[in-house]
Amino acid sequence: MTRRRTGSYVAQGIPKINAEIAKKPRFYQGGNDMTETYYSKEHEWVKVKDGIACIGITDYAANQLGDITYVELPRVGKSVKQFGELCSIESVKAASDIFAPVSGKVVKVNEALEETPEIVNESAEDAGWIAWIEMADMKELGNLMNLEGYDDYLRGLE
Amino acid sequence: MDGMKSTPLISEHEGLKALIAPFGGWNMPIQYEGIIAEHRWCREKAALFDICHMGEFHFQGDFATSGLEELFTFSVTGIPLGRCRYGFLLNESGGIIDDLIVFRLGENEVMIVTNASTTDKDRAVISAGLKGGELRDISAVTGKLDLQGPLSRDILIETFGPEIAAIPYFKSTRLRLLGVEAIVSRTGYTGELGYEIFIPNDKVVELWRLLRADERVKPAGLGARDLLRLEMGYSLYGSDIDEETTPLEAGLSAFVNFDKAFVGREALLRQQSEGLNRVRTAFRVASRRSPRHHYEIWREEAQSGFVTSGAFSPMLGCGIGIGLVRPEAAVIGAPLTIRHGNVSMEAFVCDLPFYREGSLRF
Repeated sequence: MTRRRTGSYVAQGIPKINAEIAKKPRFYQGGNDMTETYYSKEHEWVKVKDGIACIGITDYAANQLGDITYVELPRVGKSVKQFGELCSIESVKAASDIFAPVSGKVVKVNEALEETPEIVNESAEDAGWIAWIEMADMKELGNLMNLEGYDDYLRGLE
Repeated sequence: MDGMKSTPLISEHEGLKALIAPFGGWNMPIQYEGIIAEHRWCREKAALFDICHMGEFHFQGDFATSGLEELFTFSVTGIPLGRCRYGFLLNESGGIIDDLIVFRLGENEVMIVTNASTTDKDRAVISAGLKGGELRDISAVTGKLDLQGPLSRDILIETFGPEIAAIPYFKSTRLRLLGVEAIVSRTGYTGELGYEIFIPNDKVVELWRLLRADERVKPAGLGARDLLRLEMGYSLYGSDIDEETTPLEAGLSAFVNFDKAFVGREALLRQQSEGLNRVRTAFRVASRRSPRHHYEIWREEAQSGFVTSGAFSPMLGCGIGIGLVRPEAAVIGAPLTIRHGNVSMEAFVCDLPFYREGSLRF
């Protein structure tokens, strides 16, 4: 499957997107202070800035799930361990667990997903972000894959 | 996918990059563009379904003397010419061997349409129950396409002529399509205006391509079909009804005619007089969460039954489901909790159908 590199967030073309979300600071858009994106074997992605990790599921995972109908956002304040359960997601086909790619504390969640979880299908690695986690240990990024590694991993799955 | 059969349209589905999975012994398209997009297209325009996997039997003979009359929960003789009737083939305990539709094609002629997974079983039971007449299993040579959606009638009239418009709801007619004899009925499984087209297998690819050429038509798979039928509260054999479920438990006694003899009649009457231990209930979830087959249904701190079918309803924007519960729980408005592992969702009992705005009777 082709890995689509996420570009800038485009409000048009994503149905029923909340205008408030569109105006929020572009935390994870390309820029000099952006670290690269890391990936877990369970198909979560992480982008880190100033010790805060923005996380979501990958396009591959969203594609495997099919039409997403519900996202159970984690509670703000929740403590998570790397690779432990973060929250759950449901699609027409199945219910699935999302695992935290890093340890820390959930400080923010993407509330737009409550009303329009389909944003995850439209833009899993951008507008479909799920939560921000205040990281406990930056070294944990070493347990994750970079884009090249994740691409190789995906090729191995097919 | 060994041992799985494929319909004549398998290459068409592969060409469309459909997600194909086994269903009822067949490799079937589950989705093309996406289940929710296909569901929406059916409710708004016209969706085309490959339903070649279902079974068809042709019977010719006197319904009474052959014994056909006593096999189903409805009278075959009582079906007016050209009409279709939905009902059941039961076992001696009143359990449902299959739900099916019988088309009265002529004075002594019917077509029986069965589910894919039960075709062989039904043929064996019906053959064993007949003492006359001629039963032919035409499943292997009969293709079936469903065109369902508010635009379906216009599309078929433009493609095949005005005779289509004359078919009233739940009636069928024989027509010449693509130079061969076909049967078209105004029946379906979606709650929208729609038609089922039965055509010889060797013409079904041509018919598929012809209908798909119309830009108002898009293919839809079994995933969308399941959402559409559930929103209407239609039962799915194998999920909501099976050999351990009677039509009374399933809330489908309307399709049982106690004024005639049929296999299982005594068992149903007994069940009726003793009272039912479990009944069908329908419920809406108070969130977008999906209930699923075999999730537990709880009422007032005790488990009351199980979900038999459940999903997220795109039309209602919430989870919906059907289940079998103790009769006390099946009260409209009653609050329920649906549980599975550490998942829990609040719901309340409601009436069927879930979705009432379909074009079915247009």
